[in-house]
Amino acid sequence: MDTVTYPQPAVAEFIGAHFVPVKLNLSDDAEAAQARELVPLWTPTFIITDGRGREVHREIGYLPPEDFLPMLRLAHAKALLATAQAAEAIRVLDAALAQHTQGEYVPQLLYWRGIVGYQAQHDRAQLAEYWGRLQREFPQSTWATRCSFFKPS
Amino acid sequence: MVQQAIAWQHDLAAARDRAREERKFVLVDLYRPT
Repeated sequence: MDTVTYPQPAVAEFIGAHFVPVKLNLSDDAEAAQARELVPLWTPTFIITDGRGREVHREIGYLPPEDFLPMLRLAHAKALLATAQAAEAIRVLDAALAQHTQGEYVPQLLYWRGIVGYQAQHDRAQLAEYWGRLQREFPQSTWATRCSFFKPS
Repeated sequence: MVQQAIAWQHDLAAARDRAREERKFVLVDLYRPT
């Protein structure tokens, strides 16, 4: 992460704009003690919380820049949703979907865009639009499977 | 253009305080040196 992903300007810029970044070395007793409440199972683990420590997203394992940035955008949107900022979460997800058109996180971005739109506007059409797109464009995705019960039309 | 470096902190409680003050969220990277 330190040699490939974090030096990317877009990654550093996004982190600086939206997050307070914390690195805890689990081989260091004092830092491992701080991390204990987060229940680390493996490293690297990336955890996104609000300012009260409430977790909204977690990832385990190395992520290259092309995956780490959309993951951060997704986590940012989930954090906004969790703190009653759904309109802003929609803006973040729309920007992410405009910027990322392929890659591991695009199906998950579509999945959450449907959810956030539905929760913000109580509008089934939001689910139909984004979950329908997910089912059409990424039918093999696990995220399409997770909404496979849903019939867009 | 000067490349922006990530200003990592190593104090979780202080990071949470700062996140609340700045209306940001907290990104935690748990790692072991390789």
